Amino acid sequence: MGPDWFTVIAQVINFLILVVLLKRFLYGPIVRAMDRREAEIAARLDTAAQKIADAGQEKERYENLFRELSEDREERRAEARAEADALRTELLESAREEVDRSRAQWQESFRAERESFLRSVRRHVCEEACAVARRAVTEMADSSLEERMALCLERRIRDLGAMEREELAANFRALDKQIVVRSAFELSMEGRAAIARALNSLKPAVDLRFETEPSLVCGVEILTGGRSLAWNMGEHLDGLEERLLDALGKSAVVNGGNPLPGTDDHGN
Amino acid sequence: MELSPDSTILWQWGPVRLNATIVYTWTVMAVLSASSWLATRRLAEGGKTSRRRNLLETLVTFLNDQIRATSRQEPGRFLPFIGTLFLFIAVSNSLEIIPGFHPPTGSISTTAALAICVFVAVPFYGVLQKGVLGYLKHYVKPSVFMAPFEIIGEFSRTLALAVRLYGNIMSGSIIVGILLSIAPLFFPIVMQVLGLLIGLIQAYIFAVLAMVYIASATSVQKREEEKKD
Repeated sequence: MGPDWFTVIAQVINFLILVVLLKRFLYGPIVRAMDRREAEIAARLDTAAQKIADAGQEKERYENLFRELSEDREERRAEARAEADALRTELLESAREEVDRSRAQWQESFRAERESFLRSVRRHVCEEACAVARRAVTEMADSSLEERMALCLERRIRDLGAMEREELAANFRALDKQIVVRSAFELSMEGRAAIARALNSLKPAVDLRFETEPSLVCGVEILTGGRSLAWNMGEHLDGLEERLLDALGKSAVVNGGNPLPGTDDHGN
Repeated sequence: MELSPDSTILWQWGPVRLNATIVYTWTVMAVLSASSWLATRRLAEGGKTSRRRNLLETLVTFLNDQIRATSRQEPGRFLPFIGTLFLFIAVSNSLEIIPGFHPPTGSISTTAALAICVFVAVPFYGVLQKGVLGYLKHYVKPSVFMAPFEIIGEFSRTLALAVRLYGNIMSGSIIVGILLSIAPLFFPIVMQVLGLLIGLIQAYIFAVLAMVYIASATSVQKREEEKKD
């Protein structure tokens, strides 16, 4: 019943060998595999945690991006609204300017038309007044009146200034042709004599020739080449028309209108 | 009827006797080593885990948990010794159901050898942990007069380990043998099932007791370190 000590020793050795064998073939590989797998799991958990952290950061980044985009969108919308307001204001201003310009053009056109109309009215009034005066003077004129005119012409020559008189005399002296005396009606002898007297005072033995010219209306005209010396109603009536136009133009200025085109301050 | 396979001498050359106990032990060793090698030879690097690998991992995890629960220390350095004790005894006892196989743990020589291994392993781990003097100190605590009792206790528990395992397994085998001669049908099977259970329990008890003895020798040092801290 007691132990066989050889067997005991052999079993001790067998057991120690078994310990070595199992450590070599069982515990070592299994423990290493478990450690390796635990390390892998830990690494995967670390990776997962890292990925979760990365995902969190990405999420935060995208949220920030989204927030920035929203803010940018609001900003752009505000800018667009401001631009639209500015454009609307500009367009309104432009339209207002256009309306003002059109109105100014229209007013200018209206004023020009009115002035043109007034100018034509004035001119027509002047022409009519002059025509009436011319007609009246024509109807009133006769040879006796022209005789009076001849006398007036004689007096005018006589009343000339020394310088003018000398100039006229020099002109007559230089002229070797006949001096033509024109009148609307046939001058009487007295009238012709008065004119001859006056001209003889400038140039003795002057050669005169008397003609009739109805366009003079009433009056006498002395032609000496390039110059003329006259006293007639036609000339006065022409001056009357100019003076009338001048008077009506000034009247338009006084009434708030512009002076008539073609006339200056002196009525020329 | 043979009470121990030690008496079956298969080959003898002078004092060297090859008995059935040694042969059965070699058989158990071969079975354990071969199955371990087969299970672990294709451990892929981080690859898919097989059922066999899962079984072995479960077994190793169970052993680690038991060692950690008993010793309250990291199981790494105790696993080969305690694990081999458990596996050898459990496989030896389980192979008892194979007709013609006599478990080597049914031999007092085997259990004595295992008890001697534990008897040596206790001071080995103790000295490894805290040195020779540090280990010997625990024999004179709390008084030097306790040293004889401590030494006697060392021997008596070793003897108890050997005899307990031997008695249980040998008695189970003998009971099954006797019942086979009395009632050869059905009843021995029930007793064999019971014998399997007893064999696993005895393997567990042997391994846990061995761990307790080793832990008692190494935990002293740990308590002293805690006091120093």
